[in-house]
Amino acid sequence: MSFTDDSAALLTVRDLAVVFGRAARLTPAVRGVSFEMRRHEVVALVGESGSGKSTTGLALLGLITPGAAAVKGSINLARKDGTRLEIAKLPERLLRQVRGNDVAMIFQEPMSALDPIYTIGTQISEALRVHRKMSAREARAESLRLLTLLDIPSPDRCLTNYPHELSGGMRQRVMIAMALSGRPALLIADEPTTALDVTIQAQIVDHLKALQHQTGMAILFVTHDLGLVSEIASRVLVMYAGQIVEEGSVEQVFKRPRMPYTQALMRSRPRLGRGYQGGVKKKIAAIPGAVPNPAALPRGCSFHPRCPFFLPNVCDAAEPPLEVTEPGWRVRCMRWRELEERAA
Amino acid sequence: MTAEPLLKIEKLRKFYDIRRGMFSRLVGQVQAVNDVSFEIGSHEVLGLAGESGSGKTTIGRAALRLVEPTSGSVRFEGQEIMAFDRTELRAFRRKAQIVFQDPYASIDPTMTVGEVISEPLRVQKLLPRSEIPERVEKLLVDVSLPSHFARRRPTELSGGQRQRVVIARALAVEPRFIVADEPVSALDVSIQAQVINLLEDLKARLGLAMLFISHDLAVMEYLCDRIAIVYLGRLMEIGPSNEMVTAPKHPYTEALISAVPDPVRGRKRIILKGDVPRPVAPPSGCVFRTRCPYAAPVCAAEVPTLRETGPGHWTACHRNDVL
Repeated sequence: MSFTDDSAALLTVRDLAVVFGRAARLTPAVRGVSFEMRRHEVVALVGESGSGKSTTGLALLGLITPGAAAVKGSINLARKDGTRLEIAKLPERLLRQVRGNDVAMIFQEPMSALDPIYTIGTQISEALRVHRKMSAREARAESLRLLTLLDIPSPDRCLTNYPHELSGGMRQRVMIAMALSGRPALLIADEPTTALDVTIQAQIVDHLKALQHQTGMAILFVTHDLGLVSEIASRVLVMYAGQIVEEGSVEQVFKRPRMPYTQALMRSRPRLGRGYQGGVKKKIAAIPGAVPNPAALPRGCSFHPRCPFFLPNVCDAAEPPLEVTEPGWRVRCMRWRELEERAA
Repeated sequence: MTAEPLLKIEKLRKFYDIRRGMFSRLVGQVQAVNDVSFEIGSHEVLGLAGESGSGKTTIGRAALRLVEPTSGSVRFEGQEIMAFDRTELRAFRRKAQIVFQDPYASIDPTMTVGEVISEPLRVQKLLPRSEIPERVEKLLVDVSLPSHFARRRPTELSGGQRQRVVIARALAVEPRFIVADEPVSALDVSIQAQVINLLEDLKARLGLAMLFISHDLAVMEYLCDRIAIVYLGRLMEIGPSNEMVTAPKHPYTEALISAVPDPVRGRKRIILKGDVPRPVAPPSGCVFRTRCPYAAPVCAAEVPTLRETGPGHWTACHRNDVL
């Protein structure tokens, strides 16, 4: 496979499973997740807490501590030099070469990802000297360039700052600058704006979009916020109880979600400017119940105890497959076709 | 508002001193809340929105005298709560309660759910001991939890269930007024909706008044009758909730609304430049001017006062003519 082949998948995940705990108390966090990412593509991975979205993101970088959890399945990544690597089986020594260089990650709370005792300058330079073998002088110039790219006011002063001296939004910019320093082909962004105020969130999302255009890197944007998905991604994966339950283009899935969970999730989110209908206040359509305990999952479809379309002996009998309903649009529901025909 | 408001806050100000050095020299002041006034009617839900550092939490606590303001007045049922002695304050605590953001931090994990809910009843000695179990059961039903939950431990509960327990505890003393400080922010989307609907239902059934503090304007639009927007300790705009989100009159509200991500694209987005300035040295004049796309010289010179820009709608902006 050649380096310039854009059509080939950048990342192919097959039957990824992550199980925490030991024999007596096994907790499956990710169950049989398969998906692909192409180069330059922005994909959103959406789910509530406990859905397995963050664990999936961590597994892609080989960041699940061996011993704490068993990782099964295949994570196949195309490196920048055109070779392909199997992340799930890679020893730590080789993983270190992949992290930062091919795949980088940013987290929700940048304060815990930055080292409090080193200046921002030291931390960005370290990444540049390790990954891009730069001299101290080159690293400083490149650090300044990256901080400027992220609209950080007075970047030379920022280099001398410690993480605690920066605001949350500034810290996240620094994290993004560090993530970009190795020129990764894939950025995993795990709830990068969740801890920020909305006006700052809008700035960061805008930056990520612009940087994606400039660098062409692919982004896996992990979030619980459906609103953000349409701001940034072209394709969306919806996770529930460790599985992908719906996958499609943002346009398809948001216009006419086929999985009852996606439908319910979209309706349960209050939308600005829609609180009133004909002068009367509307109620939000809440999803009853709670996300199931991963150690005691319901039989059949994991969503059936909360689903308004639950059909006994069908939905609780066997686990529904992730069915291809249209090219690029997969749905995990026994009844999606019947429900759609009824709705039409 | 026709009758006397339930809560009336006037010119509320809370400055925190910053002291340094061996002699605790005063080196500056954090202006957490500056000159904020508003009212809440007897059965009204007022939303208080703002970003972190806006002073919204401090305002909520001052409304219950959980912090002592630097100056200003807070009147509840016509009485100045700052003048209350211990006995009066205790009586006031029966009428006004608070629900915090994190249901993991605000419940004692060693108590049973029944003990958590009945604690205010026992502290206030409102009921004979024999009647407490019955009241706990009723409160659990009120917040849509099964009555056998009284014997459970908080650790067995999910976040949404815990927040219901916190709400039941606040309701135990049959208050007239509740301050809810980001009560759904720590919860998952699907659970948030359940708790919002519960609050809405309680408001209708029990005729509660509420100060609902949040950064989430979409949630507020559903729950609140009016919304107040604060920025750097100052009240920017206050008005009916549907007007505030569909036709904001302050540039900050406008930007805040436009920044809320929406699943359907195509809305006009205003991206504000820079960070919120530090409350130690807020900008002169209008505190929002450093990030305002419409700022003019007058904005640096004078602090804008609230002016009525529509029925029941007040805006603090020099540049209303351009918006």
